[in-house]
Amino acid sequence: MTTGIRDKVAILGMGCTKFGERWDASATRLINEAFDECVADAGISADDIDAAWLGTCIEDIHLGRSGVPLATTLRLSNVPVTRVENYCATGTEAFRGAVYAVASGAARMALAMGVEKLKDTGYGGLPAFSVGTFDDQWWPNVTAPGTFALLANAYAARHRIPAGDLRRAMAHVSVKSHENGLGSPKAHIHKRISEQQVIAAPAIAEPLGLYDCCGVSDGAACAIVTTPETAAALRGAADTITVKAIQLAVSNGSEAGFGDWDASHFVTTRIASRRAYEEAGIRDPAAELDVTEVHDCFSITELVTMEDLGLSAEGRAVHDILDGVYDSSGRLPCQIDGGLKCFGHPIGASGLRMLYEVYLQLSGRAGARQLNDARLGLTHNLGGFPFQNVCSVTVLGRR
Amino acid sequence: MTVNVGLVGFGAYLPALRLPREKILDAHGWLNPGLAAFAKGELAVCNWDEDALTMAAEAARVTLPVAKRGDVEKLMFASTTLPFEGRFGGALLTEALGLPADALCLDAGGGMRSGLTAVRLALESDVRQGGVTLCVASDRQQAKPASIREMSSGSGAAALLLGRDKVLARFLGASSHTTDFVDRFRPGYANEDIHWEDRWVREEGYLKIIPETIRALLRKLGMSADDVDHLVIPVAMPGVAAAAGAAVGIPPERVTDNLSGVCGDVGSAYPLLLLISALERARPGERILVTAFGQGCDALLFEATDELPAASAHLHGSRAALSRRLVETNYLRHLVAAGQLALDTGLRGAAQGATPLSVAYRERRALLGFTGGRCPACGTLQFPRAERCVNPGCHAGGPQDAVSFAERSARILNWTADRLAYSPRPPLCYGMVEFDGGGRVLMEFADVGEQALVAGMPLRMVFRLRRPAPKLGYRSYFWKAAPLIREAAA
Repeated sequence: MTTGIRDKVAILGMGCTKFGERWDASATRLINEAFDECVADAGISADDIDAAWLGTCIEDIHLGRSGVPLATTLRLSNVPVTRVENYCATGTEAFRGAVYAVASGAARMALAMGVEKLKDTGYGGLPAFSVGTFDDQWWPNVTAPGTFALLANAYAARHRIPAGDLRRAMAHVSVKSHENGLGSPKAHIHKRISEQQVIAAPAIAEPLGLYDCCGVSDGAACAIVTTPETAAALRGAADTITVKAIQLAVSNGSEAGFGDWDASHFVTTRIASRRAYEEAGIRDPAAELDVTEVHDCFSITELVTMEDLGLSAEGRAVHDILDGVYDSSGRLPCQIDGGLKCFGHPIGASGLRMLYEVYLQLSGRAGARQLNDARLGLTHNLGGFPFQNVCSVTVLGRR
Repeated sequence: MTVNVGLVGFGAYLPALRLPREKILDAHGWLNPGLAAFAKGELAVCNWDEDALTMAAEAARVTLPVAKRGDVEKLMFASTTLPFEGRFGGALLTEALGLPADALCLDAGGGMRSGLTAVRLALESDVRQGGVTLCVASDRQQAKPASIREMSSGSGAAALLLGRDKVLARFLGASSHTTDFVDRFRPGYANEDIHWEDRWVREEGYLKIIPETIRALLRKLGMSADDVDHLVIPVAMPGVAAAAGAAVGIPPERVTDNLSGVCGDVGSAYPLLLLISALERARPGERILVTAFGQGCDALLFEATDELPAASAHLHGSRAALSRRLVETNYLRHLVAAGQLALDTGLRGAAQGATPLSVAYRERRALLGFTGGRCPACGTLQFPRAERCVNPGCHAGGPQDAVSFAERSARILNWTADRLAYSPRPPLCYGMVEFDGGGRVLMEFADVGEQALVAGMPLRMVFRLRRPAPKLGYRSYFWKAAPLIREAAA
């Protein structure tokens, strides 16, 4: 019988760099930038950290492997440092490791750092990566937008949604995130766009166009976690933000290789979110959650995810989105900071950037984009392909 | 010689892409206005992921039903455009088709008549009752852009199945003639042939050597020109076939059309393709004399049996090969596919994954034979063949039965046309493929053209190059899913 993670760990401080094409910064510089903000917020020093997790995904083009780059960059006190990688959900994996360390009692204070320096490849988009020596020999030469375009086409077919309606809803997702990004000084992209611009943009992978795809960015984000007691002692009980749930679901091959999946939804998101709601004690997520940050790598991903998280009914996300339910002024704002779409997507940092925004919102420190009385927030961090992926769902709340 | 040996099956493959010759004139008329005289009809040309091996595999597949593959005792593979040397092409075909490993395997090549020479050799060697010999000839031809040869150089493959049971065309005899008449040759470093003047080739070569060889064969068999009902002269040069027939007393109506207008000269596969075309027209009792030219000539005589018309109706011959057609509307795109024009691919296109040969060998049944598994516990079909069943309701461990997906019918579950992914012919189209009877595989779609992909569209598996092959380096093959097409624009 598992007891879950609810209220066993608190966030003591967080930091996040400016995301973007950081031609000026190396990965180590990005780590320091996020860390300096984080320790200042937490009111501690690097020497107080008992254990650390480093999340980087495409490590070969920036830091290299192992925990060493984090330990040397921050001159940590020879504490355990573990490098983790789990596709685009890498950032949340670093956070999960740190949270579990504190929950177990093995660490009093633990650091989760996510970083990615992507703009040293010489071309746009994510670099291609191996899917294993054997699978590399037979998989098509897929790209991320291509595999998510498969989802869009299957979703439209499954729910018999007229192409124009899906196109407009997807455009609305992107227009909303661009609007929200204007309120985030640290966001990669600050540009207002129109539905017409999204629809008229060049095709990337049919039916996804340029504005259906998130940016590829450089950036870092981090968190220092501790026990709720320590947090209350250092920050005051009223300001304590605790972890209500962290769940991770990983595909076991049935979507890609067995015939019972219709290709129009995320199996893992449904599983991870149901487990997270149970862990957090949430019965009606649409009513109880105040803010969500989801993995909007593509507009269609956010759209489908709204259903898989149980926030929209199956086949109804198109209408909820067009009705403005997830707009900044809507019933349940999504990507209030601009999301992957505009805040940016440095792979290893993204999960922690989502947590950073929810943390700021729950702490009442989100500045111009602060929502009214946010008490419970969710992050959804997805990695891989619709047919084979890892999905983590985290819930944070005011204690 | 055994009297009852002969052809027991045949099959042809032409790449779906057809390049209208006027596109060549449009591109090069400024340089060579004389091309206008040849600018009629079209050529069968390879897509970027086709070569002599992939076409040979396709021709062999349609010739040899899965149930008969175990009967193959010999495999003869002729090509002058094998994409590598020092490696048996026949071995790759053996894996792709699932032929017996103990079949005798021989690559023939070197000259344009190697395909028909291999057929003669096979017919004159011992063929056991029940056993069959598979002869495949395949060439991906290339000619210098703007040359007259470009107007006739097509690509294709043809296969003949030889045996003693239910013979469709009895083998009556053969003559060969060898002399070092060099009408064309390819220096070892080149992809394109060098040709001598057409008039000399016609007068001194075609019209002397071919008739001489035909006369020698008829003499040997005690026959005359009147005994020949179909004469096959695989020469694309206008007028040569009829002139060679006239030289031996065979009137033009008995000379088989050289298909020059619909696919062009297809190299070492040309004699076999035209023989198949003649067989599709022959009536029982009629005799077919087929020749092949190149540093001499081979001539073989066949007699159609009563079995031929019924069998021919369901065999995948030249008519079926010609009916699969996508018109290439862009000459530059054709040059890129042929590797004759290097356009910028960007850094993303430059990234190429290597193939560890130990992996390629260990997984050869999966990669070349498209062999997946069937769970012995629940019967679920799956690719790759797994150690543990993919069915969430089963997950049984243990060895799975080997099942090839190559000949199974399938449908599109979902699809995309990806313009970010590198492809020599963007967009790269791929998606989930759902096999009838079970099994789901993420696959690239081949020969899509401009037709719209839709969920549920029926697919046929095709053996193709995976990625544009490096000039120096391993060529990696796998299976792709091709929409069933008749005619469309590319």
